[in-house]
Amino acid sequence: MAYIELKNVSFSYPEANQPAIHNLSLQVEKGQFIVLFGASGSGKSTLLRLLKKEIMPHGELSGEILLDGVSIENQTVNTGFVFQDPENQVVADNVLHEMVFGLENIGLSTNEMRSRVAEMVHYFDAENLLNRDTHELSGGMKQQINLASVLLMQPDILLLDEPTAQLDPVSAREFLNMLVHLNEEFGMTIILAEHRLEEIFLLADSIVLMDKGEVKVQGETRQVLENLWKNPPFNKYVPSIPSLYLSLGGKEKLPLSVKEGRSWTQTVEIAKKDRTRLTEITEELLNAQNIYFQYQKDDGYILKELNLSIRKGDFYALLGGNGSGKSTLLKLLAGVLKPERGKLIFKGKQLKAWKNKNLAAEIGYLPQNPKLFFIQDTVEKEIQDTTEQWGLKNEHEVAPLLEKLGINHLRHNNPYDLSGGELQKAALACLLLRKPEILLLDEPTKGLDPLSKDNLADILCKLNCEGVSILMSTHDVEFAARYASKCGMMFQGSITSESEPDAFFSGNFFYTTMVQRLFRSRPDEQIVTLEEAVELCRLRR
Amino acid sequence: MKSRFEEFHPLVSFIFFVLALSLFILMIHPVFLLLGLIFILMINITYRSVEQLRQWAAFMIISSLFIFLLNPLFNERGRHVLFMFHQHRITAESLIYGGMSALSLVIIMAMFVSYNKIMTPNKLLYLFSKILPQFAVLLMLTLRFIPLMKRRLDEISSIQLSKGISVLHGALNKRVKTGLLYVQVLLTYSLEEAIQTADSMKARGYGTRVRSSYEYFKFKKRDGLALVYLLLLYLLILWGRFNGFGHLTVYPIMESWQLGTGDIRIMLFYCLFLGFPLLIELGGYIRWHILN
Amino acid sequence: MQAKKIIVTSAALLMVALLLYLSFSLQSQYIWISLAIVVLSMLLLLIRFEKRKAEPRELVLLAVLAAIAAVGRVPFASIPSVQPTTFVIMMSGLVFGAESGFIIGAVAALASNMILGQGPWTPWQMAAWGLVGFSAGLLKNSRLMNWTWGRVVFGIVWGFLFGWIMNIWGYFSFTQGGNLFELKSIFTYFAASALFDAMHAASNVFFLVLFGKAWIKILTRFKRKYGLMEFRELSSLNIKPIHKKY
Repeated sequence: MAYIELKNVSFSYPEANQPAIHNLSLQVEKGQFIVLFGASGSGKSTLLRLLKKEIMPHGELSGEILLDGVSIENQTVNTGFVFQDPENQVVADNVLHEMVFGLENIGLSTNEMRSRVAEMVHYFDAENLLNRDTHELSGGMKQQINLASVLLMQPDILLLDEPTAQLDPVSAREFLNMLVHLNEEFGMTIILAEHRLEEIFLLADSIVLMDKGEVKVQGETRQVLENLWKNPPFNKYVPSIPSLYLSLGGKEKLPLSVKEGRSWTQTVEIAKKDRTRLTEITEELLNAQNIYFQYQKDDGYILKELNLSIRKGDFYALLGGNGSGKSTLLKLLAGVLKPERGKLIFKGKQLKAWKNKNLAAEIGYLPQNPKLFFIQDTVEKEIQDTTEQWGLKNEHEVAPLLEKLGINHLRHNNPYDLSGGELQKAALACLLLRKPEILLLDEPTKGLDPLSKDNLADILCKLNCEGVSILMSTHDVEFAARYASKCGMMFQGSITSESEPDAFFSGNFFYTTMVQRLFRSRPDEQIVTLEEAVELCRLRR
Repeated sequence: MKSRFEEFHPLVSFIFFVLALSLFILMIHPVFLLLGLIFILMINITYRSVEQLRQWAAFMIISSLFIFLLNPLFNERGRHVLFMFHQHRITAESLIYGGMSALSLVIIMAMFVSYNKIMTPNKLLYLFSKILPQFAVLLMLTLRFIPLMKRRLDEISSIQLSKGISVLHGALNKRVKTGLLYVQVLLTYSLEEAIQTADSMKARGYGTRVRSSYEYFKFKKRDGLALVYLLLLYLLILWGRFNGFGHLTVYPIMESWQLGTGDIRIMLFYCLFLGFPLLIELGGYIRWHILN
Repeated sequence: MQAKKIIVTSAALLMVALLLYLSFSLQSQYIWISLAIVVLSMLLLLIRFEKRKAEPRELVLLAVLAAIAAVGRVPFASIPSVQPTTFVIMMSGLVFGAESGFIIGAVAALASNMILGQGPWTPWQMAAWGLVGFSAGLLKNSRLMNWTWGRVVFGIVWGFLFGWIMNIWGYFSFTQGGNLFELKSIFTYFAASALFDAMHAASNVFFLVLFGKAWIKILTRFKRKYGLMEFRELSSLNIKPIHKKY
C-alpha cells in the first residue's frame, strides 16, 4: 500500500457548477518527490489542501484519502504546508516569534523549542535573521522562514502550493534546492505544485499534470514530457531543451538539462542566421536623463545616474536582480514618484510639466499586483468608473476590447474571484480604454502558468503592432528573449547594458536563456530562443 | 551594548515604571518633584534616550507652560494674593500648584520616553502572553500587520495615482473621499488575503492543543531580589505618604515646603527607589572594573 | 478550572473592595481612582475575550481591522485633522458586535502606541476607541443604527465624546488629580478642544454618509466569508457557539 493514496476522490466547493477535483486517483510512496503542474484552476491547490485535514476546504467530498493507511479524518501523520504567498503566511512581528509559533501551538516546552530552533537556524544559516522584524525581510527570505517554521514541527510529509511563484529566479532556485536537500538527505516525502518547471523537472521522482480536476498524465519525467509533446496545448509545458530535441525529431534519451543537451548539440548542423533586420529609427517617446532617486534621505540611492530612452514602437524588457530598482523606475516613469535629480521627458515635454490627469491618459501603468488596481467590486463597474472619470465616449469599444482580451464572460465578476491572468487582463482593459501611448508593465509574467503567459504575449505583441510602445520589467529571461525588441539590464540603480535580445543574451553568462546556454559551446552562433533554434538546426543523419 | 537594567526580566522593568508613575502622581512636593526630575533625566541619559527626549521637548514645554499659566487663571483659591489680573485674583498658591502640576507632567512624559526605550514591544508582548495569551496572539498579529498595511497603502496610492486618482489634487471633499477609497481598497484586499494567514495558523496547529509560550526571558534570582527591593521601598514610601509625608498641601492652607525628619526619611526611600536602575548600572560598572 | 475561577472572582472582588476603600480614604485622589476603574473595566472585557476560544479566522479578522484602523490616517497625511480611525472602528463594531468592536478599538490604540511610543494617553486612547466600537456594537440592532441619519448622529456624538474622554487625562494632569473641580475651568478647557472635536465629528459624518452603507456591505460579506455569521448571532444571546469546521 502506498504511503499516500487517493482513491476516486471527487470534491466540489459549495455553489460551484463543476467539481474542483474529479474522480482522481493517485499514489505516492514514502520519500518520493512529486511535482504537480497544470493551469491555474486545474485543482492543484485543492488537491494539496485535501491532504491536510486542518485546512481541508469546505465542500462535498467523496472517495477515499489515506495517509499511511489511515483515513484523512483520523489522521495522525504530521504534514507541513507551505503556501504560495510569502507575505500572507507570516503571523508574527519578528522572526523568532514566527519560528516558535507552531511549536507553542503544540505545547512544547521552552527547552525543546530552543533546541529545535537552534538546529534549524544552523541548518538554514539564519542566525543573524533571528532578531529581525519579519517585515524587513525580502520575499525569498520570508518564504525560507515560512519553510523553516513548518519544518520545525518535524513533518513527515511536506506539501507546497506554488511556493516560488512570487519569488525572483535566484531566490526560487535557492528555495527549490533546499527542498531537494530535504528530500535526499532526510527522505522527506514532498508534493510540490509548481509553474517553474525547467529546474524542477530534473529533480522530481514523478510528475503529475492536472487538468480540470483530473490527473491527465503521470509518471517519470521523460515519459511524461514525451507524452505531453504529442498532446497540444500541453506541449507548452515542455521546457525548451527537450522541446528543441523533440521538434528536431530526436529519438534517443530525452535531454533535460544543459549538460545532457550539450553533447547532443555537437552533432547538430546549424544553418547560417540571416542577420539583416529591419530597424527603423522612430521618434523618441520617453527619455530619462541622469536620474537619481531615493525613498528617504540617507536610505541610499535606489536609482543612480540612470539613462533610458524609449522610442515609439519599442517593446523594451528591463531585466535585473531583486532590488536593482526596476519597479521604482517604472513608478518614476508613470509619474507616481518624482526624481530627486535628473530629467524625465515624455513626448518632448518634461514629465513634471504634465498635468497628472493628462499624463495618466497617455501612460498606462500595470502594477505587479493588479488586485490593488480595482476600486469597484466588479470588472464592469470598474470599467464604467474609468469611462466616467475620463469622459470617454467609446462605450461601444468596451465589448470588443474585452472580447479581444478574452474576458468578456467575466464582466460581472468580482476582481478577487479572477485568476492572476484574468485579473491582469481586466486591469489591462481599463488601461487600454484610455488609449495610452505607452504601457509600463511591472513583472507581468510573475506567477502565470505557461498557457496564460502565451496568452499575455499574444496580447502584448498585438498591441505593440498596433503602435503601443511597451516597457516591462521582468525576471523571465525566456519571455524577454522571445518577445522583446530591446533588452536592458539594471544593476545598482542604473542600466548597465542594453541591446537587441540576440546580442544582449549572447553576451550574458548566467542571465540568459536555456537555449543560449546550450549553444554557448558553438561560439559563432547567436541562438537565443527556441524558435530560432528550431528554425536553424537540423539533426545530422 | 545592552545595559544591565534592560537585561532584567520585563516584569521588573514594568513594575518599576508603573510604580514610579504612581509616585510622580502621589508625591506632589517641590523637593520630591525636583529629585524625581533629576533621576528621570539621569535614567534617560544612561539609556541613551536623550535624542528621543529632545523630540518630545517642544510638546512637553508647551503643555507644561499651558498648565502652569492656566492654573492661576482658573483658580482663585488661596490666601496670598500676588496681584489682580482683570479682576481676577492671582494667588501664590495657585502658581505653586500649577508649577507642581506642570513639573509632574514633564516628569511623567520624560519617564515614558525611557519606558519606550526599555520596554520594547517584544517585552510587553511577552508580559501579555503570560496573563492574556489569546490577546497576546491578537496583539502580535496586529503588530505584524501594521507595517504590512502601511506598505500596501503606499502601493495603493501609487497605483491609484497612476490612474489619475489622487489625494493631493482637487477639492477638499474629493481628496478626503479618495483617501477613504484607498483605505477601502486596503480593507477588501487585506481581508481577502488574510484568510491565508488564518490557514497558515491552522496549518501550524493553532487551537488544537493548549498553547505553551516560549520563555524569551528567564526569571532569575536577581529578578526576584529586585522585585523585593522595589516593592519594599514602595510600601514604605506609600506608608509615609498616607501619614502625610512627602506631600505639600496647598489648599486650603499652604504648608511650609520645608522637610521634616519624616519627610526626609521618605525622601531617602524615594531616591533609593528611583535610583534603582542607576544603582544597577553603577554596580555593573564597578564589578567590570574590578574584574578587569 | 474551578480553583482558577475562584481565584479570579476573589481577586476581582478584592480589587473592587480596595477601590472603594481608597476612594473613601483618599478623597482628593478620586480622579486617579476613576482611572483605575477605567483600566479595570477594560481588563474585565479583555478577560472576557480571553475566556472565549477564538478561531484563527476571527483573530486574523480582528487584527486586520485593528491594523487598518491604526494606519488609516496615512493617506490623510496631507489633510490636517481628518482621520478615518473612528469610522473604521465604528463600522467594525456595527457589523461584528460590541465585544469585537471594543477589542478592535483597544488593540488599534495599543498597537499603534507600541510602535509610535506610549505615553500617559495610552489607556485613555484604548478606552475611547474601545468604547466607540463597543457602543456601536451594542446599538447594532437598534433602529438608530440601521438608519443612515441615526448613524450620523452617532458619529457626531462620538466626535465630541472622544475628544472629551481624551481631555480628561489632559484635564487631570492639568489639575494634578486635584480637588478643584470647577465647572468653569472644565468648561473652558473642553471648549478649547471643541474645534478639533468638531472636525472629528465632521469627518465622521462625511465618511458615514458617503461610505457607511458600502462598508457595512463589505464587512458583512467578509463576516460570511470568514464563517463568523452563526457565531455572531449566538454570542449576542450569550450562548456558546458551535464551531464549524472549515
